[in-house]
Amino acid sequence: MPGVVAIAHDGKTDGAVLLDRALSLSGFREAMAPRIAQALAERGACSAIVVPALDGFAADSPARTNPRLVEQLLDVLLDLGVTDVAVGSTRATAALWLENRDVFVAADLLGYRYETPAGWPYDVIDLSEDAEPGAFPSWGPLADTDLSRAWRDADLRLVFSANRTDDDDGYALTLSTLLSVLPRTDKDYHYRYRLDVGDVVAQLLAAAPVHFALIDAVVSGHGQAGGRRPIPLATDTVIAASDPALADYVGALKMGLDPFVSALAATSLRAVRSTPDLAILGSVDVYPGWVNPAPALVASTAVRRGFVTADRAIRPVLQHVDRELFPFRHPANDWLNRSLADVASAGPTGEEGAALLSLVNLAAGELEKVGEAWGVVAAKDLLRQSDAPLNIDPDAVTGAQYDAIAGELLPQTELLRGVAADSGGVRWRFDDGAVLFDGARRIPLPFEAFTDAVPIHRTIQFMNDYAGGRALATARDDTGRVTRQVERNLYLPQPNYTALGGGVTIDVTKIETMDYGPRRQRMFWKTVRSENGSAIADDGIVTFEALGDDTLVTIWGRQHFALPPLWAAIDSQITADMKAALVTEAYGRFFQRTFANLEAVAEGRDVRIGRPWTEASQAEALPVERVADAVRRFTPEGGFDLSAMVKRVLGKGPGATPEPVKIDSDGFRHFQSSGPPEPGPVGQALTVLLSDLRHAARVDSGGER
Amino acid sequence: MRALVTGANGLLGANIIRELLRQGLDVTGVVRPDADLAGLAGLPVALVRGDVLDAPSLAAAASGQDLVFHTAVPFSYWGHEPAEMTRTAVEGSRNVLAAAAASNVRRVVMTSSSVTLGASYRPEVRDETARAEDDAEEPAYVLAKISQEREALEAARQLGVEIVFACPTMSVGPFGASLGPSNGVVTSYLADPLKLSWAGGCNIVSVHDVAMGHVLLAAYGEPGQRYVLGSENLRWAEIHGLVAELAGAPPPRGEASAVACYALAVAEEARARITGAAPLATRAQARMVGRFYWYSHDRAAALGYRPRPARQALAEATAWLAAGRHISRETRAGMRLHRDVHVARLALAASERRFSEGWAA
Repeated sequence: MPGVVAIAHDGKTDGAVLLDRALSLSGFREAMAPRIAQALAERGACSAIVVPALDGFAADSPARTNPRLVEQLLDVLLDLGVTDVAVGSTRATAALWLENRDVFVAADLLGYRYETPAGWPYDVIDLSEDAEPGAFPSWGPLADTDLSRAWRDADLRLVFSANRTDDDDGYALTLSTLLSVLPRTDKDYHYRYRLDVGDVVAQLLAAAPVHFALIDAVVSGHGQAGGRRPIPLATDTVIAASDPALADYVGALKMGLDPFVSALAATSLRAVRSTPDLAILGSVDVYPGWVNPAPALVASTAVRRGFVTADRAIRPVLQHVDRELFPFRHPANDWLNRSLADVASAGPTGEEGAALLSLVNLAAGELEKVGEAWGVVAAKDLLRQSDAPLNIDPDAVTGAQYDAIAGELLPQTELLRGVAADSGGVRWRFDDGAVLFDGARRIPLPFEAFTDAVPIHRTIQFMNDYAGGRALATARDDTGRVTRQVERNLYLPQPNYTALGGGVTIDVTKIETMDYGPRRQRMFWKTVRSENGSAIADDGIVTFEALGDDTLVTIWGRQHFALPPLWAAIDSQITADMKAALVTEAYGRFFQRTFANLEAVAEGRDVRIGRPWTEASQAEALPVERVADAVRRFTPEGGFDLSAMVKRVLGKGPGATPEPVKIDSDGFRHFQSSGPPEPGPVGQALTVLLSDLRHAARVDSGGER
Repeated sequence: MRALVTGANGLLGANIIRELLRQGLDVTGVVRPDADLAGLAGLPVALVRGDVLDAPSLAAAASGQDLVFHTAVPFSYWGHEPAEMTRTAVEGSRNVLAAAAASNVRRVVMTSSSVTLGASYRPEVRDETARAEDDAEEPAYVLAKISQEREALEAARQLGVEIVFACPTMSVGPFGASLGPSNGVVTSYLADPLKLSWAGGCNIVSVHDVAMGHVLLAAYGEPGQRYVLGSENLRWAEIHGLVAELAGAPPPRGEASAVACYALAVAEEARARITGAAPLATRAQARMVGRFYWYSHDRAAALGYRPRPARQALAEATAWLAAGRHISRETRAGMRLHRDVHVARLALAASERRFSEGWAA
């Protein structure tokens, strides 16, 4: 059907009338009728689920869709013949730090009455409760994600968002609200930090398309602070669209924004911008008096999101909340929020707070970059592992492409003939800006045992500095072994020290073939895409070969990585000898650690670097909880009594009032008999320390016998 | 014949159980309710949940047993309160002996430690005639083992139970639920970025041999006697050199002074308190720098005890540790295992397979 967006605006009427006009103008009833008729004809029933914004943290918040309008929409649906209507949502990240964010309680507190104006009952349902696998393709960002059965099976899926600004995305409209269909509670953690949220929303839309989208812009939430402190503004508008991306496109225009400012919406917007015969009915003039978040705030918030721990710590602190309805779960968050939420949204429309918050965000982001660079160079297991869903369609890779890889790569191995190997058995040479290299190691394990433990099609995942990715088998042999696959790999910046000056993660997508012989297995790979432009080439061959009772592992490769500007400038200035020394060191290290990893995999170890993301079933503790735990470790009572801690550490000072060792049932205070003052724990520890050091010095001098 | 092993999931307990199973005994192990049982997976052994401080649980477990191997005292220089460690050693041993007496157990083999024989700042070899003194500056573990031996001997006399003391030296090898200071010799050297050794030395022995030694003492040990179960006496630099050779790591760069060792231990303990991770070295261990924990196992050898060389013991330990969680991924990525380590790993895997295929059969 052609796309349509209808904008109903009238400052002299109420929301109910505006909604009715928007529905009429957009042809909502005409568009829904055939679907309803078809469902009734096929099953004698028709179900509809409306997903509203439940982002409000106060009863009358403009960040939530007005429940009266949602209930009015349900009546319209029932009038059209829908037999089952429901309001659906899931818990969101705020449920981790606020009470009463359960879907049913939140809906109740935000004004849902379980009965439409016409007196029809409806349900509020939690779409996480019937989530099940199988909704998403195996190669995209939501490959392992469940989705509500009710949402998938609904004959009509509708999103009805509020109309508000947002410091994450500039604006939060129907696509942002659609995210609440996904089942995991910590949506920030699972869908924003780990994944590209734009891809997430696009795939969600593709898997379960939304049939109509509406925006409640009767009273909107504007201002620099976005959803943190939505400032009500009467905008007297309802927008209805045949597609949520179209609704968001026009909704953002009405705010005076470039719709593509939102990373969450951009991917979906690009998919609908060329909708044929698109009709935009009504004015797209900007709302009078509307204030958006400053671009610097949106950009700096994106930077802060890169520092997951800081972002998770800061969000509860910044949110304006009606504590009567939604009390904080942890007193520390409550206290910090009372102290800082107003500061971060200060100013009539939040402009003073936005300036300050932008600086804080940038500082957090810079801190994260420093930490990340340090992690790459010196503490790889402190880094978070990366999720990198496949970014090519496996079905689009032809058999001819797979078949051509070996023929293309094998002749290139000859280019290393005559090159002397270094002491570690590594050879390399430059070729058109790339490095051709190979190296081999004889591993003292029988070929069968080694190849059973180390599946050759996974070899790239065992290489040094592999940081994450995903592989999808596209063909197998008769015994189930993978013979073709597509794979996306992330590697830490190469060489690692480039992370100190702008080096980026190497991100390459490859097509791969495997062949299996009785005494030799080989894997060939060819890079077909580098999403971030970090690699110009990364092709290779790995061979496992029986050699007596051992296994010979050989790796050949052709790599050409893009250097960031700083390192490119340095690279252009260094001598050929120095460059050769650096390349020799880099590949020597690569082979030493890759072969060690292959041995370790044969031993049954997991060699993947970094900390895994915590799965939904065992949610990662919020930073405030971790700090509280750390304090408990130092305070046996479990509290944070500073004076008690000081007393315990320093002991009693001279002349201090003695404390009773016991107060009996009659109120008598019992004291220990006086004696020489005892040193506190610090004094005792110092005494032991000095005694031990004297003893150690005697040992060193040979005086201890 | 039936045998009961306390501390069944510990380094010694898990290996004694394997040795008893190899010899065809019916084995029951006592483990705490929250014990990590990964090291016992797949073994045909009956497990009883209990605690050596819980006398009734021991009484039930000891019923019908012919032999008791009491290993359940943690070998640790970190994370255990000294008083609790002594209580486990002394009171736990009394409980085990009481349960053994009540069940007419033929003999109790009690795991003591070679540290009860003391140590010297000179490179001299001690035997079972030597005794450590109750020096308050000794680590809590050493004091606990001294008390355990003394009290257990007296309790056994009063209860009329035959007791033999096994005094293992630094026992390295597989299957312990926790790392422990002995296997820590290997892991801490590999994790040390400075690759330092220190003065003094110790006796390194395979935990397999220590397990076999326990079973030997159950058959042939003289009641009331102590038996050192050790192998080679080596300086720390030699031990670290062997570890480096077997793991493909750099050899020791030199010997750190005792003062430096102590300072590093202080720093490590501080790091451990902040991160919650175990320290690479503790002050209790640093106080032992410069001493020679060298012992003779001639008394056990007279019964037929034949331990393998220290190098082989370390190869087996390295094979097990390299594949497990006690060596970090980053450390493992810098290692190149010696062929002997690979061979040891394959032999270990084959030995484990035989349990699932029915060793006794």
